[in-house]
Amino acid sequence: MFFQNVGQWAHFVRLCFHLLVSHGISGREFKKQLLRVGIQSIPLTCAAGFFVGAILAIQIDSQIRDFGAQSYLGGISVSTTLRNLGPVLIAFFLAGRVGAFTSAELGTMSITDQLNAIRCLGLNPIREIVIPRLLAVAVSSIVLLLMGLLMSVFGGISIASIGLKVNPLQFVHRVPEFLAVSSMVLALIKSIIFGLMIGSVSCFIGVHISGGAEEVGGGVRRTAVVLVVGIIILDFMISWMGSQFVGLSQW
Amino acid sequence: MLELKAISKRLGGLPILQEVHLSVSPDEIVFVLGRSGVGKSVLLKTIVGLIPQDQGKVFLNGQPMDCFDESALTNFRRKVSLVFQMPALLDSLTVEENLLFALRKPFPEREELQNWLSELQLDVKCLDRMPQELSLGVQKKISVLRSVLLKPQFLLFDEPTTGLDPVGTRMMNDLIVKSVRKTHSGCLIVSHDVQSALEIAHKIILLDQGRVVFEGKPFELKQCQLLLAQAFVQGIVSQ
Repeated sequence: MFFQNVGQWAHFVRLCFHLLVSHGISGREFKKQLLRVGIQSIPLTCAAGFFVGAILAIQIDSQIRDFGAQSYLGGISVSTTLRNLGPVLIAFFLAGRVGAFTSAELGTMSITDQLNAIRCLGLNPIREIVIPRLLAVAVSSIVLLLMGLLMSVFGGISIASIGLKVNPLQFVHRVPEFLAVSSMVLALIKSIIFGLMIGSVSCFIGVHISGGAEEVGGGVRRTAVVLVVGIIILDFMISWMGSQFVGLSQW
Repeated sequence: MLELKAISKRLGGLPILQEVHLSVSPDEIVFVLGRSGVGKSVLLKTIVGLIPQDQGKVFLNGQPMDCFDESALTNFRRKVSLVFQMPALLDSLTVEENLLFALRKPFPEREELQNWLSELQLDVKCLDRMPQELSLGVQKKISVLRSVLLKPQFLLFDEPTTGLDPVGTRMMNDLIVKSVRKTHSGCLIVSHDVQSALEIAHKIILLDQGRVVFEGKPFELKQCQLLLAQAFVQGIVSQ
């Protein structure tokens, strides 16, 4: 069952890619979806990112303060945020907000025959409805993840200077020692992969919902579970591959 | 001409359609009557390839429809358009965007649209509203108009008058007759509504247990000795 679902998801992604390359995308629908799922998520994502950074700064400060290593707070907290916890926590947030919304919307369209009605008008619902949403969710998730990460750094600096009495310049000063370019590349790679995953999984589950309101609820729950578990597994795989190819110390 | 030859379909091991033959010509309105669960909606979904048939073929102007070729199906559905029982308008789009959606271009003649709206007794202002702000009757009219504007060769309707009051039913029947006259399309309607069938159909087909048990003109249905036909005419078949 698991492998069958993964196979169907891979076929769905391939079909979307094929239609995107051969027929292009409905630009108007894409922009509309970008506004709905992307722009409207900016304030909450920034707030979530800010607090992720702030929480990590507080936690790390409590660990290193006793050793008199507070000058390392900026370097450790920023690198930890960017390399691992930041992308994962913000991706969880987006899976709940953007992924579940998209899945529920497509599921409702499916059970109310809206997708079949599009077929009966001689159009392909994958091209007209799904691809603009998939791309909008993926692009939005990538951009939002990056924005969230920037805000998490800002959150760390803010709480360090206001709450922990660490000079902001001192906080920033040590960051380059801990944060290699490869760490930023890793954050970018994770953001892209998590974004594509949120878009493709939520659309895949959404269009395959059939039945009634109960099935839509079940589909939304399945989307959330698959995305959360998938994000953790992918995070592990990316981190492991990074450590194998580049060396753990640089990651 | 739209023709069905020996269409059979089983669902869950049960025979839903059994060797159904029927044909619809341009400018013709054909009603398929039958009790609930007799396979009327399955018949329509089979014609447009949403449910593949087990046996038989659907022919459009003599050409068989290949329900496994997606591009051929898309082309077929531009010529044979199905209007669902529920309006199935896209609820993220305004009424005007819904109407434009399938046309993929601005209305060539805005006047044509306004004529349609006035014939449907709809205000032009409704174009800017969202479907969920409108009554079911208005949504159904918009749904029909969305298909009619594509000018298909054949229009298929699934229970077009279900959920409408007598005035709405009369207006829906008028809309179907007008759209057939204006576009010279053929029309296949599945319904329980025997009154509408007797009023506007050129041909009535009675479906029972997946088989065609009667085919003829409305007056022939009234004279038919079949118990089901008499029950329908007398309006005593339960919904």
